[in-house]
Amino acid sequence: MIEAHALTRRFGTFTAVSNLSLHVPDGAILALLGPNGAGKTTTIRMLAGLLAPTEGNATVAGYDIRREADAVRACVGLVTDVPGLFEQMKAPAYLDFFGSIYGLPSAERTRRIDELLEFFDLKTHRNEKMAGFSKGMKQKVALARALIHEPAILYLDEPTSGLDPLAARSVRELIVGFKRSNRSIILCTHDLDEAERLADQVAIIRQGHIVALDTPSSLRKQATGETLVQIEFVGTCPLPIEEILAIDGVHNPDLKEKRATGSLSTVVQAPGSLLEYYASQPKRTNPQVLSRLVMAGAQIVTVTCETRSLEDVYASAMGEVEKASLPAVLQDSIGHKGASLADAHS
Amino acid sequence: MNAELQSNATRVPYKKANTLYITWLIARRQMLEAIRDRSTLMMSGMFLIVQTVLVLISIGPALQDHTVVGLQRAGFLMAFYLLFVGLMPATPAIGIASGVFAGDKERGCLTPLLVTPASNTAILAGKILGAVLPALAYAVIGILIYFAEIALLFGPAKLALLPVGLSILIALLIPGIVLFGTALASIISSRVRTFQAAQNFSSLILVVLWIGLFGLLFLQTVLGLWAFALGVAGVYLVAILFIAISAITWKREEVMAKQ
Repeated sequence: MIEAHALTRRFGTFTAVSNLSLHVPDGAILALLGPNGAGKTTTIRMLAGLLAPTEGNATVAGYDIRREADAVRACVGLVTDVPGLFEQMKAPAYLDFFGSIYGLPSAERTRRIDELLEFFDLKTHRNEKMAGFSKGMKQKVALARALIHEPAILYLDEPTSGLDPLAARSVRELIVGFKRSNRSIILCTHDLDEAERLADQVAIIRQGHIVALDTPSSLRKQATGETLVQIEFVGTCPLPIEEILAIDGVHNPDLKEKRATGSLSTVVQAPGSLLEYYASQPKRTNPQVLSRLVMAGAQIVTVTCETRSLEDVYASAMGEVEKASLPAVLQDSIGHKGASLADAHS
Repeated sequence: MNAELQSNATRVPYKKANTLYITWLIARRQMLEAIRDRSTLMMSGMFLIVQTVLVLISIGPALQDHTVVGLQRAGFLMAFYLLFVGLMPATPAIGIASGVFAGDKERGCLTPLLVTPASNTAILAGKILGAVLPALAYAVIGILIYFAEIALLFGPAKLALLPVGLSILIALLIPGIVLFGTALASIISSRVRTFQAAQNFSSLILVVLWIGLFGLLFLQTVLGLWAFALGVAGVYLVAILFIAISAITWKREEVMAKQ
């Protein structure tokens, strides 16, 4: 379990992390999202016993990060975006070196190394120097290194960065496996899809502050209470937009042309072939809309409902600070453009 | 991913690791890295060739003067070269020492080590020891080859011309200088941001070392052997003091804060 309360870290006058609090229970994954320099790595380093916080405190697996940093380091595993291997070594010797530093007895090291090499599909490469390994293989060795002492806590700082899609997928599968083995995991990533798929909780961090912390679905709900509903017709929508707007719970209805994008060309269907509207309670609103449309003779092809993605939530959390960092004149300009775009949309 | 990993994630009570054992583990790995460095091996090999040529072209003619003064001069020259052949092969190791922290940091290899429960003292001492020992080994090999060359080319009896006191002091000075140079380079490496900065500083260390050495030799000729002996003791004192202060003050946090 990881418990942090009001962690702050300053480097001179620069505050990298400010007043950060979080709680990661056993068997849970917390994803830290944020741009470069937001404070994700500094947070991880404080929680790994590598950097002392300037203010605040935290316990990791029951150990205090200030007073028991050695014990904290003994029960955490850390993987960064750079595998950081001694590449002239062979994987078993490398893992043996770290196993020795973690104080594992010789027989246990041998068992554990065999187990990890088997698990990561590296057994056939045990007699090769790691310099010849692919990036994915190197990252697997880095994961094996982090797991050699069976840590209760795992910190994964962009573990799939630079990996090809298949290698990244296998690393994600591993992360899910680690979670099932009751480990507390903090995952720093730029990949919002990865965060959404793996994490139980997502923290969006901006300029050292946590600006949002909740489950991915709750974050989406908090960002907007409305669901975007799209109804595609054969031909055009038989009801005028005013009648659809009159239905209880329908907001911002719009008739558009359906665009089907193929591999080589985009097919544009007739105007009015796609109805879009927002509904705060789609379970109540959609049946009413659909029955009115069917009574009016609509031939419906598909009905899709979309809630906001984590990317939208992230973008809105980041948008404010980007705008705030611009000169006032530009902020006004963006404000006006935003307003005119909204007007045009409505 | 074809096997199920046994992951207990149990809270094993923490037991403090043995600092001496961890120091040795880190030093051994560091030494292997230094020995595997091909450029160092090539440089050391090149110095061996240079020293052979020097022996042939300078000691050979000096040994032709069979007068007492001539033989004394030849002995002094052989002692001077002893310093040269001991330190030259060890010089590249000082360059390697400058990479023990800064180089590892740039390659991303340092963080995995810093995140282990190894103590600050074990990490620093292991890194310094790992840099010092190969340099000493190169120095000893250089000296042994030098003696072998003299014995083979001019006869073993010519080794007796070496002035005993000066030769012993030079033999003592070499490890002191190697210890001082590599330890200082390692310490600087732990406190700078980049490998390039560490290398620039270690070049400066080498220049200062050589000036100091020539100064010591000058003192010996002017003031006598006791001044040289004091200089040797001073080198050891400064090196040990440097390492001790660093071992007490060095913290992994400083390295992480500079990343």
